[in-house]
Amino acid sequence: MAPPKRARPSFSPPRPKKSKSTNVSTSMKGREASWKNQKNAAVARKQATATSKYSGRKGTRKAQLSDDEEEDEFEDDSRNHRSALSLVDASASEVEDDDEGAEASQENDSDNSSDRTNHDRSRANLNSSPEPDIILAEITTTSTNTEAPIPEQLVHKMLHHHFQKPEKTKISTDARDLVTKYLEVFVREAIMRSAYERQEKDGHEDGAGAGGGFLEVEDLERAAVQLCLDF
Amino acid sequence: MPEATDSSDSQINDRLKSTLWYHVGQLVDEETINLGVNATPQYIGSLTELVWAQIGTVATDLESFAKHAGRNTIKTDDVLLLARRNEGLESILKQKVDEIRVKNEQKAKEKKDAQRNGS
Repeated sequence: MAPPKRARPSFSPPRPKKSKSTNVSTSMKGREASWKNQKNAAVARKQATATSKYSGRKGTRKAQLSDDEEEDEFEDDSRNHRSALSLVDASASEVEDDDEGAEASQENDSDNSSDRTNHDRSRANLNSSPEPDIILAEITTTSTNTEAPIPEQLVHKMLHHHFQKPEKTKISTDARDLVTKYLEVFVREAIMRSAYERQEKDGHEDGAGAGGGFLEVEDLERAAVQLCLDF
Repeated sequence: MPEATDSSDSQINDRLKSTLWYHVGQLVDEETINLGVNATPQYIGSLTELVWAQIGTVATDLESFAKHAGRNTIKTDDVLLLARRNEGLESILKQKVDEIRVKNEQKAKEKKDAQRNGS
């Protein structure tokens, strides 16, 4: 193994811990990651050798063996680059890669941060620092983990705002939680029905993707009539 | 004087609405990703208006239900009355009621245990 080009402090991304904490992460993160990856594709290619050296230096013999294929993969697009990296990561940390999708998206995030850090160290000029990325990932995790999509406090305030006699009427916490659930079901149902309307419309017009899969106000308008009768 | 209260009232209105907008937007994002579609910002805005109107009717309904039962406090039974014409929704809400009840019992138990340990 050739010595690294630059002297760098040993970089230890929080991979195993992160993958545990982001276990619940949804495709939102994946999408974000892929977007970031596209942005980083150029940097990733530039940093390909550096990254592989890093994993070889720090990882096991297995990781070193996979260096060759990894570098080949890096020449391809960012998608391949991701899968290659996740492959290396899995072998380096000896983690079993059972569920491809979730694991891949998790590896993505940490890979992104490593990419960013590498890129920061090489001082190439992309204008964002690594910190926002990491923070962004954390925010998406917390937002997907929250139990109630509409906070109970907000529901309470809004109900109170609409009461005829706000000074007299009270609401128990159980009832408040129940109204929150009701509203959540209402919103989800509205979205589902609008998506159904959109599908119907796309079916009537010839092109299946004519609307670009965009829910529009008219879809809601058509769905709202029955929705309001049902709720 | 009434002007001042009016403006503050509408300010609260606006702020509640924009908060609701934010959370509805998040819900829309979550659902649309699952469905594989996209939503225009106008869609989120009008959905927010719809939810806002629904909250208005729900609030007055709940108030009336509680009043009819001779109470000033809205309870879970009043909320279940909202879903009286929608069996699917009613079953979802009943399930939620059971969940809440179990949670409350657990909490009460923990409190009791803590008190016993303390005394």
